[in-house]
Amino acid sequence: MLFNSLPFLVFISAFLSVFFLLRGVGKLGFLLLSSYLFYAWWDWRLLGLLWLTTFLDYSLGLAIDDTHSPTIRNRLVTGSVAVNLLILGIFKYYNFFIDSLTELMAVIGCPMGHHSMRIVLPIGISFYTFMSMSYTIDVYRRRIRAERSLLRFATFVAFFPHLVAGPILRPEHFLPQLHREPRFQWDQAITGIGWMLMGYLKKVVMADSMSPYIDRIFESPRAHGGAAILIGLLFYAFQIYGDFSGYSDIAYGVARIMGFDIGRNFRSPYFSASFSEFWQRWHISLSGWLRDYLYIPLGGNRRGTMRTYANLMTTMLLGGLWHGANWTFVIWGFLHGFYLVIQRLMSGLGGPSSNSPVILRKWIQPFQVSLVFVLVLVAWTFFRSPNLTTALIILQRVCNPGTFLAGGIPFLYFVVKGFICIGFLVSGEFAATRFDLERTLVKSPTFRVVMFSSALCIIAFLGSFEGGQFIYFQF
Amino acid sequence: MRKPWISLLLSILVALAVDRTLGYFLGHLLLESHSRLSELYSGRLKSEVLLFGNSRALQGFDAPLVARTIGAGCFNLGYNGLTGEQVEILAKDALEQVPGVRLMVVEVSCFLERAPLETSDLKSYSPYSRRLQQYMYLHSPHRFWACKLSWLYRLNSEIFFRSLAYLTHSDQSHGMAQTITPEVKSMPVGKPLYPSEIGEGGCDALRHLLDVAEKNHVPVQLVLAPYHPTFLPAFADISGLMSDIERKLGHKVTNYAGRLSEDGVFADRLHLNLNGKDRFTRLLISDGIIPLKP
Repeated sequence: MLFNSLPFLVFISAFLSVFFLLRGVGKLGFLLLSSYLFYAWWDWRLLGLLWLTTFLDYSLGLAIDDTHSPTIRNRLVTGSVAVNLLILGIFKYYNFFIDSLTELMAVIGCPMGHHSMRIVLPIGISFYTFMSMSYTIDVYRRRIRAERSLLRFATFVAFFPHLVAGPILRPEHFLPQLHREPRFQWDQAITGIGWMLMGYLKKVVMADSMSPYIDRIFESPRAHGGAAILIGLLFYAFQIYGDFSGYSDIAYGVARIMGFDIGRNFRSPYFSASFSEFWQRWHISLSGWLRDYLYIPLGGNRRGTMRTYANLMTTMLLGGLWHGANWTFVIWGFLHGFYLVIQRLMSGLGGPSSNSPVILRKWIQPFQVSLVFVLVLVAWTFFRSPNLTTALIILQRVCNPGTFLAGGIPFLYFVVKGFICIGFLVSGEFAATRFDLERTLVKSPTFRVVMFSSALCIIAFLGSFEGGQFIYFQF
Repeated sequence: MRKPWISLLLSILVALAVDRTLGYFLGHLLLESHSRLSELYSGRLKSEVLLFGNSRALQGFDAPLVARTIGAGCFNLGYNGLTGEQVEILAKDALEQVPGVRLMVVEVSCFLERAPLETSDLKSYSPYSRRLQQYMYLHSPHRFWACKLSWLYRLNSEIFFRSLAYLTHSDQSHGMAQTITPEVKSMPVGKPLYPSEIGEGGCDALRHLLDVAEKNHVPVQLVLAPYHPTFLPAFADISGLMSDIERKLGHKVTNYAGRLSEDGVFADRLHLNLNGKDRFTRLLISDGIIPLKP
C-alpha cells in the first residue's frame, strides 16, 4: 500500500477512527494487525519472512537477557546477527555475488555454470532486518532489557509507518513508547497532518514531477547533451531527496498523529557544508545505525589515523551495499567514504575553524555547501545509473564541451516545473531554519489554515498522480 | 489550543474556495489562449482544412504554410501523445464546432499503437466536450471524479501550462529546430514494434472517424508521415500494414514513411524538424493530398 495512493488514504482514515477508540492490549493488537494488513497489501506471502525475523529475535533476545554466561550470550547474539544477515544475503545479495563470481571466473578462464535464482526481494527487508538485529545487539550489550511481550516486540518490528522504508527505529527509543498508551492530542494531530502534507508536497509535487525527465536521461544518455544531462542529475538529487524525505515525513506525521515519535530522518541535507555534516542530515537513522553498530565496533577513530580511514571506507562501502546488490551502489559508498577521508585529511591542513572570524566563515560557507553538493551529485550519478558504463557515459558527456548543448533540452515543461519545485523547496527549508514552523502551526490557527489550504491547492494543481513508487522501497 | 477541528474544517473549506476561484480564472485563461485546443473549444476556430494526429502530426504538418499556399484556412490539431481514440474525439468535436471544414488530413501513427500511452492532459478541456468527459469516465473514473472535486486538478496538465505561453500568439508555427544526432541514430530499435496488422482499437477509432466525416460530407486523407530510415525496422512489414488498413477500412492511406531520408530534416527518429516539416508539407501539396482548392 503506497502512502500516495487512494487505498492508503482510506486505510489511514479507517485505522485512526478505530485506533483511538480502543484501549490497552486491544489498541496494540489492532495496531499490529493493521501493520500486517498494510504489509500484506503488496504480497501476503512476504509476511512469513517478517514473522520469522520477529520470532527469531524475540526468542534470542529473551535468551540473551536471561543468560549470564558471556560465552552463551556471545553465541546467541552471533546467531541472531548471522541468521539476519543470512536472510538478507539470500534475498538481497545471492544473485549479485553469484553473478559477480561467475563473471570473475569467466575472466580468469574458469567458466562456471549459471547458478542465479529467481528471488523476489521482500519489500522493506533491509529496514526491518537492521532494526530487529539492533534489538538483539542492544540486549547483548545490556543497553536495554529484553521485551517480554511478543505483541509489543512484533509491533516494534512491524509498526506500519516505518516498515517498508524506515526510519530504522532504535529499540531503546521506540519500545518504551509501546509501554505507555498513546492518547489523541490535538497538537500532535495538527503537527502530524502538517508533516504528512509536507511529505506529500515533496513526493507528489516535486519528486514525481521530475521523474519522467530523469528516466529519459538515464535511459539514453547518449541521446542528450551535457546540459540536458546536468539538469537530469540536478533533478535526481532533488527527486531522491523529495521521494525519500517525503516518505519519511509522511511516516513521521502518521506516527505523530498516533502519538508516537519515530524521529526525523532528514534535516535539510543539501545545506551541509561538509560530508560529515551531510551524513548527520541525510538518512539519519541509517547513518546512526552504521555508526553505532559498524563504525564504532570496528574501532571508530580510536585506533590511529590509518585505521580510522579504513573504518570510514568499510562503513561507507557496506552502507552503499546496503542499498542494493549492484556495483553502482558500491561505488557510491566508496565515493562517500573517500570524501569523508579527504575531509579528515584536509581538516588537518587548516581552513576556517570555529575559532576563525564569523565573517570569514559566512563568506566561505556558500562555497563549501556548493562543493559538497556538486560532489554528492557525482556520487548520485552512480547511485541512479543502471550500471557503471551508463554512469561513466553520463559524467563524460557532462564534462565534454563539444556535446554540451547537443540535442537541446527535452521535456521543457518538466524542466520548468522541476526548477519551480526546487525553488519552493529550498526557500521552504531555508525558512524552516529561521522560524519554528511546527510551533507556529500549533499556536496560530490562521497560519494553520493558510498552510494547510495552500498545501492542498498546490498538491491538486502541481502534483503528479500517476502512482509513482517510492525509490527506497527497492532497498 | 481551542477547538482546533474548526481550523481543520476551515482549511478544507478555504482550499475548496481557492480551488474554485483560481480554477475559474485559470480555466478562463485556458480558453483565452491561442493554443490549438483552446482555439477549438472556445468556438473561435474557423478553418477549411484540419490536420490531426499525435506529436508526429504536430511536428510534421505546417499549417501556416498550407494556408499561405492554398489561400484557405488550415489548422493543426495534432498534439503530443494523443491516442487514436482521442484523435477520434477531437475530430468529432471539430466537425461539430468548426464551420465550413472541407478537408481533414489525419496522420495515422497514433492509431497503430497497440498499448497507447493514456495521457491525462486532455482533462483540462473536459468541461467543454461531452465526448472527452465520457472518455475519461470510461478509461479513468478516478480522474473523472477528481476533476469534479478539484478544478485546479483539472488544470494540472502540461497542455494547460503550455497554453499560457500562447496567450498573445498562435502556436501553429511551433516546431523542433534541432537535427537528429549520431547517438540517437545509433540507438537500437530492437524487435519490430509494429506488426503487419492494425490493432482492433485503432481500427475501430479510425473507422468511426471516417464514418462521421462521411456523414458530414468532409473528405479525409490518411497519411503516414516520414520516419528516419533507422526507425523503419520497427515495422515488421510497413507496406503490409498500410494494405491491411486500406483493406479493413476501404480507404486509401498514403505512405510517406520512407519518403524523406536525409538527416537534416529529422529532429529525432520519429519527428521531423522545422526543415522536415516544410519539406513534408510541400510534398503533401504537390502530391495533391492537400489540393490547392480544397
